[in-house]
Amino acid sequence: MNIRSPILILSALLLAANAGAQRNFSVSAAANAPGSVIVSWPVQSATPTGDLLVLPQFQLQRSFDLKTWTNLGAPISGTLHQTLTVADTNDAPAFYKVQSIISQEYAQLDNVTLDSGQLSGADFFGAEFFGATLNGASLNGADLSAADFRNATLFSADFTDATLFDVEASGALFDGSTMPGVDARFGDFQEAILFSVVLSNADFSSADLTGADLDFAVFNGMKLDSNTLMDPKPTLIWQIVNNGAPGSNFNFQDLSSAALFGANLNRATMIDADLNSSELNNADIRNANLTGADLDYVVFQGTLVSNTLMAPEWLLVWKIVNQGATNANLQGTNLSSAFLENANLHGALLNNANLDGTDLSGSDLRGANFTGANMAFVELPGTLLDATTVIDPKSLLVWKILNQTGNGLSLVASNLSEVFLANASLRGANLTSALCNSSVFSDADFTGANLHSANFALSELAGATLVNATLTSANFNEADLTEASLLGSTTNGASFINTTFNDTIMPDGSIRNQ
Amino acid sequence: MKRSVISLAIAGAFLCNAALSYAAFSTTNFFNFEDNPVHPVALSPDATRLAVCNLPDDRLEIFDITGGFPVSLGSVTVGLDPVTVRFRTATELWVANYVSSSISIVDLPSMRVKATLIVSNEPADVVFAGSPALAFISCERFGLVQVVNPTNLLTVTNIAIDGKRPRALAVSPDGSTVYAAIFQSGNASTIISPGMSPILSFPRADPVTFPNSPYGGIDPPPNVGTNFVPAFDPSLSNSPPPLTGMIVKKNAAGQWMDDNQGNWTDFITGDAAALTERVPGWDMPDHDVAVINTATFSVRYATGLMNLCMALGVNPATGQITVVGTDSINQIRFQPVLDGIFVRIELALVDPAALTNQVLDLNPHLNYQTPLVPESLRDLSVGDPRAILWSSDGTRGYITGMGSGNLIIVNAQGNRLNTNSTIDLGEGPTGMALDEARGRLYVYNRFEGSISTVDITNQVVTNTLPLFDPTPSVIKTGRPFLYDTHLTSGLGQSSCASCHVDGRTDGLAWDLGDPTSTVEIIDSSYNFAQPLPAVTNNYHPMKGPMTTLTLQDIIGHEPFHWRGDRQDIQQFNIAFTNLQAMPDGLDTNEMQELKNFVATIGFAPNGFRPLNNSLPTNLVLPGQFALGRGALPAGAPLPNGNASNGLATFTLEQPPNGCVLCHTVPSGLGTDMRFNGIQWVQIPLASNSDHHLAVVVLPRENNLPFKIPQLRNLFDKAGMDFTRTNSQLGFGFSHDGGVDSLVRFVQDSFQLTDDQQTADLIAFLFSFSGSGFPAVPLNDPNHAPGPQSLDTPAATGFQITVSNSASLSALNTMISLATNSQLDLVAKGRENGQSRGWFFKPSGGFFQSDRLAETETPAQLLAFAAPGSEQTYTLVPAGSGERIGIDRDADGFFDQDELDASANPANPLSVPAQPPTQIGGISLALSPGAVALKWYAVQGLGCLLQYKNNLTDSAWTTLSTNTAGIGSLSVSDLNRPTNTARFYRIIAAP
Repeated sequence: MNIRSPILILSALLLAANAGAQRNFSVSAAANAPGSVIVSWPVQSATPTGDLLVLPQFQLQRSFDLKTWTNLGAPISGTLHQTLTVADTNDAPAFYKVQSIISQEYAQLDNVTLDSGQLSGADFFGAEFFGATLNGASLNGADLSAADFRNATLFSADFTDATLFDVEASGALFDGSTMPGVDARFGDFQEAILFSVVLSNADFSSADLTGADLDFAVFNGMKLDSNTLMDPKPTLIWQIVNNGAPGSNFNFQDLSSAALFGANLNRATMIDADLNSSELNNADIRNANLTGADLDYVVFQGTLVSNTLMAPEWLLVWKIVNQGATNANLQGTNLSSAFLENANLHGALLNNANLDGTDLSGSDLRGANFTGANMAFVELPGTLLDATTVIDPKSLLVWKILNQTGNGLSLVASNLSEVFLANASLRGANLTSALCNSSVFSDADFTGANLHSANFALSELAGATLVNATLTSANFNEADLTEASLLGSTTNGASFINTTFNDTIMPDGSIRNQ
Repeated sequence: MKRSVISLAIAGAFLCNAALSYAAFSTTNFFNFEDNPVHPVALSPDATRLAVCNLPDDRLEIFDITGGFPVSLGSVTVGLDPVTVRFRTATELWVANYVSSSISIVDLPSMRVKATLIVSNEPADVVFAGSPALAFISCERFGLVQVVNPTNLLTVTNIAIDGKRPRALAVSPDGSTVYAAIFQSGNASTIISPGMSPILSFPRADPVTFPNSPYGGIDPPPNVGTNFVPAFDPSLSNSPPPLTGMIVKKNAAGQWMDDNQGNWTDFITGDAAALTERVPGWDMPDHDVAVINTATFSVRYATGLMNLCMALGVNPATGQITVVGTDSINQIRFQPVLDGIFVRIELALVDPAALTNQVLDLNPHLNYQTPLVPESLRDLSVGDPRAILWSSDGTRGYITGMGSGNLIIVNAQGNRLNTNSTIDLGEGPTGMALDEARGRLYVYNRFEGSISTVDITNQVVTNTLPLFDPTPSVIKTGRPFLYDTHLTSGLGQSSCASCHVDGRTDGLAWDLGDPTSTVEIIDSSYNFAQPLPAVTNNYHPMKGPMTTLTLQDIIGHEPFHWRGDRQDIQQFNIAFTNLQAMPDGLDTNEMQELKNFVATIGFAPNGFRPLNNSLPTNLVLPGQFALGRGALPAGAPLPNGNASNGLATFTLEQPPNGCVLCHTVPSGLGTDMRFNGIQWVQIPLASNSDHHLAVVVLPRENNLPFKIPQLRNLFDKAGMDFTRTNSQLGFGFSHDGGVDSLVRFVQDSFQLTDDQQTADLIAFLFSFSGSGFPAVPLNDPNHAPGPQSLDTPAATGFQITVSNSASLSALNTMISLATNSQLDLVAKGRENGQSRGWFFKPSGGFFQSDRLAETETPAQLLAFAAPGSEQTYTLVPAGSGERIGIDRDADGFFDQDELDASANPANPLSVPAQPPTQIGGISLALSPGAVALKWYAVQGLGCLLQYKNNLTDSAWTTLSTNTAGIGSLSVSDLNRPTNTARFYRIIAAP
């Protein structure tokens, strides 16, 4: 507790510099008189505008050698935007820094917004963050012992080396956060979402992770003990990552969506195992048997493969990823559901290849030939195409929408069925009578778009924004509108038979679950 | 060894009143709330009259004591369960009716209730203080002292007392200060607990297991150094005990310590308080006595006295506040260690200015080094003290032991006088009045229903006068096994009622684990409720802290204990020997008698429901604060609650989260049925009639079995608060009391965040008792029918006094309630100057008077009401109306008919014009210088009235002979020596 965060800022004699926990923080120093220095800085919140104000205290420190720092007076505080000034009697060359101190033990911060808060080193021991939002917050080194984060949203927050001892975080959302080195002993993370969270070298002794979503969580160096509660699958992943599993038998095991990069799976037997979407980059699967294993979307970059038994198409994927496929003849091959992100397919012949659902994001497709290929759901964000690329008009349209935006485009009666347009920006586009059925539009932005009479049946629209869109007579039968926003949209005549509503924001602002 | 349930030695002037045991009283016409008196005896200012609350008879008895013993002048029906009487003037008495929530104002000369004052719930005591004098009324349930102007009966103010159940009152000698003893004050002990998690989640981290705890995370920690004393049974080596909480207690230095000197202060009040859910600086002030300034109504508190502050008095010479009660050592772990010594009987002497205190053990002959002492020492003990009264010079303090059946005397320093003996009284002595001029102390024996007259000079009982007592014999027979400290403990100071106070609870948690015991395997007879997770198939003897459970309405709701680990009350017999150190346990018949008695104890009317017993829709929720999870900030008072909406939330069937999936209405208990795929069917009772209420295993309890608890006394548990620094109580909800508030309980269990929904649910839970819920269909697998609840409607005891005929609308409301709910309506008043009673007959819509031939319509009856002829209408439990209203002795002959025929309406053997088949019905009345004896004669059968002065005398002396016709005969014995016993008999003439 009472951990102070060094944040700032070195000032070589009279020069101030910015650093650390306070955004756009500036310090100025000026000679006031011979042997006297005035150091000043503005008071600002550790959180951005719109968030709850968090005004730190400030401690000015001085050093003559950048090693030993001495407090100049006691910590001081002020009101927002007030300029704080401290005079120092000193005529020797010196460095100054201002340390911000956030000490809010037992603070009642339920349901507040602290997104992107610069809260490094803060002392929030025993604080209540129930239902709070701290997306992107910097909490590295903070003391969060016994804090209550239940129902809180903490996407992409930085908890590096924070103390989470006895924290209550059941049901909290930590997607994409980083937690290396945290002390999470005795913490309650039941049903928490720790998707893709970096837990390297964290201590979760006696913690409860029952029911937590730990897909893609990074377990390297993570400490557990006999009292730690964690579901069998992540426990197995943790053991593989930390103890290695050479020669182990994982036949029929569920190892999907696992961060297994660098894992030692030499000689492991994984017959019919489920490795869907797992990260095997830099893993050692030499001499391993992956016969019949589900390797859809497996990341093979840097994977050590030698004498490995797996289906030929996956060996081909491994080769493409690791050796490139410039001008390669891949005609008629089956590359469906392969993870070929950033692959070099320059000039490759992919005529009649099966690319159903293949992830080609970031790949070099210049000069490639896709004549006759199955391009359903192929993922094309960030791909390089040029005039020499031979590709069907529908896929080209998808590529344009993804890479050149579809905002304001006229897509009247266009065929966009069975395509991958996740995160597409289609603000103000005219999709009147477009065929968009059975496609992926997750997190797509249709703000103000005209979807009159468009067919979105069976499409994936989770997280999509349909704010103020025209949805009249559109067909959303059996579509998934989970967490989509239809706020302000017009839906007269639209059809929603068997549509999935889950935390969906309806046109009137109400939340619908069905 | 004193072992008899009914005392055979009636020290007094007669032998004949055993006839009263013939009374036809049962639980069908007597509802047992098991309330006990507070200040049931008062002496008139001129010391000529004694007033006594006859609690079970709902009457105030008036006696002439000018002769040095009480002579009845009659009685006045007041409200239900009168517990306190005080003289306001020489001619006016105020009686606090605990169940009726009223004050009866009685005019002594005319022996009538002239007004009834409706007060807050559960008025316990009333005193008059201040200048001008105001009435101060302690109202337990909501923690108030109401201040009333006695001249106009208007409320001056309500003083909120920061303590649980302010009960006994006293006044400083100068009348400027009122003292209120906080009955369930706690003892500065509290719990370290994992708290509460959602029902299907695993338990939260147990702070006892933290590496920075005093034992480095060992759970359970050793209790003596690094060892367990007694040592674990070898069979437990393969059965690790469950992780449990720890009880800690604040010492004089403000440190929170366990029984092994482990210091948990940092976890309770220090920097690490958040690790136990508390705020830093958390404290439990342990208020014991509220000190009320009668001019400003400001309140100070005396603290650190004892757990249960049962009674108090003021030494008139020193002004010192003196409190008697009990203190528990519940911070000490394990049943074998606590055996026999778990409670101390204490006297606290409190300086009225500084509020400093000295606490003394009233049983100095006990050293508590052994659980069992010889009977001669046990009989010196005082237990369950319920009154303290000082002589006017402050040199003698008289203290009664309701559990020990005796009287002890202390000096001004609080030290017992005459340490070699006590003065034995009748069963259950409570309040006292001191007539110093005549050297007499009068004591009301609550359980026996009598008044003992004590000669304070010679310290002997000179007279015991039985009062008419309608208490069913099943209660009287079994009650001693709950209360009697001499009978049921090894040291004579404790009993079941030491913790199950008045059949309820002490508000504490105890760790009665037993390292020497073994794991008990659960068999197939247990009824596991839905959902049906895997069962951890045992009851480990190291069960950890558990709060004391109420005994109200438990019989028929087996199994018992929080865990359901006792299938029958018979299995509690071991507690008599292994916890109370009773030399021998009860025998089977005695246990059955205890069971029969406990089965009578029901719940009081619910003070949260309106008179029509419906669920309130706009209920203020005292002491309930938001946790900040909804729109309200943490600490803000919850909005008013709509209990009807709360019921809807409660009965939502959203497996696994619906409350109703486990808790049934109307009790909250689990079902006694099983679902057979089509409908719920009753589980056959065990051979001893035990039921099989549902037990449940939940992940949050580590899948350990727990009985589904009842929900009818949740407000009684409210008072712990982790979010503030002054918590009233140290224990809250859940089995170990580790959840501080009901708000936290429902929000953590069911993940509610909406403040209004939370308030509604809490309003419903507070309103739970009172029954009246819609019937549950038998075919809903998620909504099991539940067992019935032994409670009464909200309007039970409600009463009004009217003095004119303009109050018909209020009366109509009461008539409607009597017609449509489980209530009877009675009226008491005067007709033509004569005290009369009436009982409303809903079927006919009329009042049956206490003369069989007389009935009145409501309007006709009301027409008799006038100043001086006030009428008091009271709603009473269904079945008891005829007894209370018109047939006091339940002999089938109405009271006025009996009086008309010179029969005694308070004697079921005294009936009018009943040709007796044998001589009987003997009764007597004492008056100065004479004993009047009455009996029924049988036509043609001569009889002799004889007496002995000592039953060991060889011969009876004939007092008179009679041969008479039918009816009552009477003879006066004018020659009985003063203050001596004489025994009478009537025999058929040879």
